[in-house]
Amino acid sequence: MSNIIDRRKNTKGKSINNRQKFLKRVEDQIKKAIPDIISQESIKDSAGKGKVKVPIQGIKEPNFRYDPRSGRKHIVRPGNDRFSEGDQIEKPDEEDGSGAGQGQGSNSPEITQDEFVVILSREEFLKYFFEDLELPNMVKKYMESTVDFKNQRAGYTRNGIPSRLNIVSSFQQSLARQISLRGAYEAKLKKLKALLEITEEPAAREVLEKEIAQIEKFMVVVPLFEDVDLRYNHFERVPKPVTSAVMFCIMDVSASMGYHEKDIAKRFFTLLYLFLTRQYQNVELVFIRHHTEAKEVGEEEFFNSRESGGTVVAPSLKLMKKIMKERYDSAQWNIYCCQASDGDVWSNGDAIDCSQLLKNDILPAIQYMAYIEIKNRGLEGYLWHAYKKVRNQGNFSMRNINDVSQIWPVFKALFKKKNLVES
Amino acid sequence: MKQFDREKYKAMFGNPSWDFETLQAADEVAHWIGKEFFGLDIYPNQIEIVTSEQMLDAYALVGLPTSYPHWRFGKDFVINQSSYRKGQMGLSYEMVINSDPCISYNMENNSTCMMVLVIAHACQGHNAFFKNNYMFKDWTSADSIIDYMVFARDFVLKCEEEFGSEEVERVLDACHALMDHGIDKYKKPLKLSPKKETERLKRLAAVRHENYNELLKTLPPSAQRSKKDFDKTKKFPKEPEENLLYFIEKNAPALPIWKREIIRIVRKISQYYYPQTMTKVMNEGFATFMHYHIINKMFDEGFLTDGFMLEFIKSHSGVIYQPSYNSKYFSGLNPYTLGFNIFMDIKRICENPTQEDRYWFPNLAGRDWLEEVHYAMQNFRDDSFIAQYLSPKVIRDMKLFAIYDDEESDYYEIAAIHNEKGYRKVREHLSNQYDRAFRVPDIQVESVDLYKTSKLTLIHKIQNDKLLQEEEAEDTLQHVHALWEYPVELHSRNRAGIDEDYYEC
Repeated sequence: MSNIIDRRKNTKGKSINNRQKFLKRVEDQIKKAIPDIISQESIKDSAGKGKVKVPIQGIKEPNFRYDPRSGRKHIVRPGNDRFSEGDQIEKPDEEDGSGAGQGQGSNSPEITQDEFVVILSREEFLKYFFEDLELPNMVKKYMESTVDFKNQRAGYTRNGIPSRLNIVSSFQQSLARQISLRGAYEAKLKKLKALLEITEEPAAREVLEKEIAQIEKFMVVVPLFEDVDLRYNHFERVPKPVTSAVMFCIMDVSASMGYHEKDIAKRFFTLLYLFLTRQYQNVELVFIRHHTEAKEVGEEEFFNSRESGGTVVAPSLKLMKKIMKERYDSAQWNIYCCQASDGDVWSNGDAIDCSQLLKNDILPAIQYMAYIEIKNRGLEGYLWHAYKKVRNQGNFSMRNINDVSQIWPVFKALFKKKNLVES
Repeated sequence: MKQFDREKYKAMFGNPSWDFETLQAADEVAHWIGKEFFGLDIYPNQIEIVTSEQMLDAYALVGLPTSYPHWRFGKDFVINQSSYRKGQMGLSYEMVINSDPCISYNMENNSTCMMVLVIAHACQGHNAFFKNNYMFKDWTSADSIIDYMVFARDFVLKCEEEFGSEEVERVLDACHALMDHGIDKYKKPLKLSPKKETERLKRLAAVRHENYNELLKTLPPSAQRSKKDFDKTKKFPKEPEENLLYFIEKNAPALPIWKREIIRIVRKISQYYYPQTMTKVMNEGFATFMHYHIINKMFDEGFLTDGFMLEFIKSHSGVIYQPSYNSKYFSGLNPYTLGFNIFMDIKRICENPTQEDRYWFPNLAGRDWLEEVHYAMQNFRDDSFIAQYLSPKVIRDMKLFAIYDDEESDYYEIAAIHNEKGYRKVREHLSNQYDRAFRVPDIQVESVDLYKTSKLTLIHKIQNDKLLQEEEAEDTLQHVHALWEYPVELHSRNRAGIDEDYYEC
């Protein structure tokens, strides 16, 4: 009379709709948390998903309830180990916790924590991330969508739809089956005929002749096709072929780059990384930081440690050139570079070195380079001035940025090149 | 009598990994034992095997297979999911709802022992409780709740489509805030029927259609109204009404019909859960009592191995573990423990009464325990159950003591402990603690100003000087206002008839 049902195969995510409604409810908190995620997580991680802490006070579900401190009440507790009737116990201070009266007697399963963690999926995270950056919708969609697949031939399968029937292969199977079946019959026939030769007795002969006739009949009716012969083309879903890319992140870490500047830079790098992961299956990151000298570092160090001192830019480009030569052959790698700086350089000579390096060595070998100068002063620095000269090269763009929403125009050029966005 | 291949079952139940044959066997044996030896009368079972994620879904909807969309369910899902992932919270082994057939969800990663335990606990214990306890019998309709939820979901979805999900959400938020005040405690509700609900809606629409007359609309609304109202010079409502949602649904001056319907839906669902909240101790106590007896009987009958019993005893003692008040694991009284102890003690008093028991429970001592346990299970709810059956022995065993907490005093006072003088007091206080009034403030509709402002007046009757949490009360009143759409006020009034707090909106 009982009915036992295996529900495990049922579709999951019954709560997705309600979860979305809830996320909408706490949207403000999530948006507030996005910059924190970006600054805390590494570029590759934050491109995946984000954890958002939402204070529970943000979601009010009021009802008429008693103030736990007020009034007179009796509370029953278990495990008395020391009290006698009439004992008095001093109440804890108001600040200590929420008073002893709370919780008792209420059977509600509410979890009373101060905050809890919402784990955003990649799509959800990107939605909020892009919202800040003011990306056009079409680009958002492009970046949010996951990898494209294509069907690729992958041998044959025994099951399939008629339109995928592979005739040649099926026919081969059929021939093989016919030959092997006939072979077996022929061998038997030969044996029986030989036996017939030497048999004299008419009754036995008759039996043999009957058997021979039957086998001959079998040999004629071996069917041309049987189910076991059929072969179908098999297709596999494989990610679209993509090549590898490397992304050089070059940042000035001299004393003049503060938290705000680094935040902008990081968002810029993250966005470029996201863009590249859409384009290429394998994206490597190289971080180069520089003040008076350039150094290749890990991401953690890249964003978090701070140096003092002046700024010389050229060594970082030289280092990049060196790394390119050693590890990233431009024939096999799509090379992208983005450089973030506040524009201060030691000397005009350094700036000129830079532009020379770009023009002669770097730009010809790479796909695209973006330079962002993060400052809100109007004055053009040496570097800006020097870079201006290489501006007319197709794969270079430069911008002055002092707010995250200005990152987008830099990308616009990049997308334009890829024919993704009409200007 | 049924014949079982005991050796085969023993091997099956002894194997830590189960398959569907094992579950079938467990269900069969548990059902046979429950019926033959313990007289359990149950709904047919529908046992569903679910993954942890599906269990989280089930948690969010409090076990119902479907519900109307609302962010609150999403919130519960997210909170449970994150604490489950962090390992702060284990999921329960099962979840069971009061429906016919009785649906229970069992976690796929339960061991065989846990599966058998869960089947005995939920599919026999809870199931029998749902079918036989008077609260559930009188206040819920197990056979139609699932269909009703489908109706509710479809209706809310339709409203979202027609009036926008934000507007619907506002109404639902307001209803949820008043859920505790949407219950008929004395009047037995009508049986739920999605078919009738749909018909009623159609009828309503037809009546409106017939009565619609464009000409009447040209009369000034005040003239129309005052004429009608002058007939009733009396106070409205005549009697105070404690079911706020019901009152608003029926009497809100200008609420569109679809909003009234949503209020009705939330009210019905709140009513459905009402017995659950009122019988937590009994329900869990009875189910635990039953699984304890069924499994032991299975062992006696030769279905189970010693190894199985060891695992069972470990799980069982985990379920009824009660940390002391000063333990860091303490989080209130464990309803499983309290209920199990009381039921076990009813059995003990019937079988081996002491002198004390004869004095305290003259009607139990020496009687047939199974009959008495059934009687207790059928005819009480937590507060009355405790008042009736909490014995001195259980109070002693659990070392229960009552603390008196007066806002005015700087001290807590120990009001009673487990001694001769204290038993009655502890019992009374514990019973009160499970009374609904201990948790839910008594708030009633006092009057509506029909003549001028349509103002709704609510009265909170203060008991034991317990006041409302002010901020919460203000926010909740906003929700009342959102439904009523005219001014609302709330007086917190003490016995002397003096307002101690006043809120308006």
